[in-house]
Amino acid sequence: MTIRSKKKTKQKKEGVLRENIEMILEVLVLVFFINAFLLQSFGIPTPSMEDNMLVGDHLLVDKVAYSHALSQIDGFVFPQLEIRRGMIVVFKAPHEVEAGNLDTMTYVKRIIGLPGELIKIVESKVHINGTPLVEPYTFFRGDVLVTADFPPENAILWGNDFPTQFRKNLEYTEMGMAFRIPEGYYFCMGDNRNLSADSRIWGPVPKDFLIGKPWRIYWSFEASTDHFLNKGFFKRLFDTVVHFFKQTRWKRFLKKY
Amino acid sequence: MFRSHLISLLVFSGLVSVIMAFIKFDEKKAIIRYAVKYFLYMVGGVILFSWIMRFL
Amino acid sequence: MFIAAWLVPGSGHYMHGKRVKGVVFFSGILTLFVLGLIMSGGVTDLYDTKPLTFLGFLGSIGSGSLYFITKIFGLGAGDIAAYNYLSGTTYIAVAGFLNLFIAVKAYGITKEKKDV
Repeated sequence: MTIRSKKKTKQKKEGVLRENIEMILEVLVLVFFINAFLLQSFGIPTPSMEDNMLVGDHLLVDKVAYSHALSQIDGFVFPQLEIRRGMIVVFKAPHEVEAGNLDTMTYVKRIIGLPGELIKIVESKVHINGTPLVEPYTFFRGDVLVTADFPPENAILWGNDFPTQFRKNLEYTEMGMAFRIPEGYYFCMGDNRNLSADSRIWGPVPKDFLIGKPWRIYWSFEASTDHFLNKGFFKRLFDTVVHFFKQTRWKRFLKKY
Repeated sequence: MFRSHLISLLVFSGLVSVIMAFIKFDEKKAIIRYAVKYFLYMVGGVILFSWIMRFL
Repeated sequence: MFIAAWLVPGSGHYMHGKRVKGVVFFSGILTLFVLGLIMSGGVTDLYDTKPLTFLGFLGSIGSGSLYFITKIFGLGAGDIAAYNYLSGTTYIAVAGFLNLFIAVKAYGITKEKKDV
């Protein structure tokens, strides 16, 4: 090969490398764009929503469905969903935001109480404005980590994460003290009531913290909470690759919420 | 700022489209055409797919 | 050329005589970055080994001097409680990716001129 042709080959390779870098950067722009404005990926690390959502379910979250909660203009263009009781939502958990925990602040729970409603939980039975709620989606698995009654009878039983300014939002009802959900806030709970750290512990969720609605599962991998929360990234990646075919729950692929 | 998801989307898409058009082309006509096309793909794509997601 | 183009958005094209492009790139990248900060978006630091963190950091540092100015003045922490924190952070990251794209293009122009 002559010096000239070697130089040309080198130039060609550099040109191809530059083009590939440009293509990768353009793809990154589009990926970040889609993640911010249309669909966000979210993994379920805990059993708080079992059996409806399992540990290891990876969801695509519709970012557009609840955007009208912040601005009415969106309702003219995007398909909007009225935020109703029973809907599953993805949101920023208030206590995690307060602590600045960027990595663990995104939660998925079900909306149980709407703004302005009175909520009382007696022996795990939810009452809204004095009427018992029919909840076909609830489960009571695992050791009980969360109290069966809400609001707590004794002031010292409020969890540390429950906002102090809301602890006095109590009203007396026939069934005892009930909690008045503040305007602009939602009371969210996990389906697996024994194992769900939710609004009973850290308070109601402001509407500004709603991110979106789970759309579909794109991948479900059977593993423990420890695998998703405590293992280092490379160890988790290695275990996932090794057990990918055996532990993927293929039947849950594209399951809709 | 930008409480509206739509307005944020429009501003973002506008800026990115213009920059991408200027990166890829030199002639004025080509730049304008590409910028408009890119903008419509971005905004239209999000709106269209959001409706598809609703009914799928 | 790549370092200069990365540090000051649009400077690479400006130095090659493409003045209009240089100005458009500078104002476009700056607008995206500043809007991201105003929207309470955050500049991502490399605090762990997750790929998303790395990409966020690449986007942040891709803005060149804008990243360093933000760090020097203690801005760019972001407010995760803000309703458009993620959008703002996306504006900042995309400003960086686009700046890197522009810098690579400027470098390409330099190489082409050299080869000719």
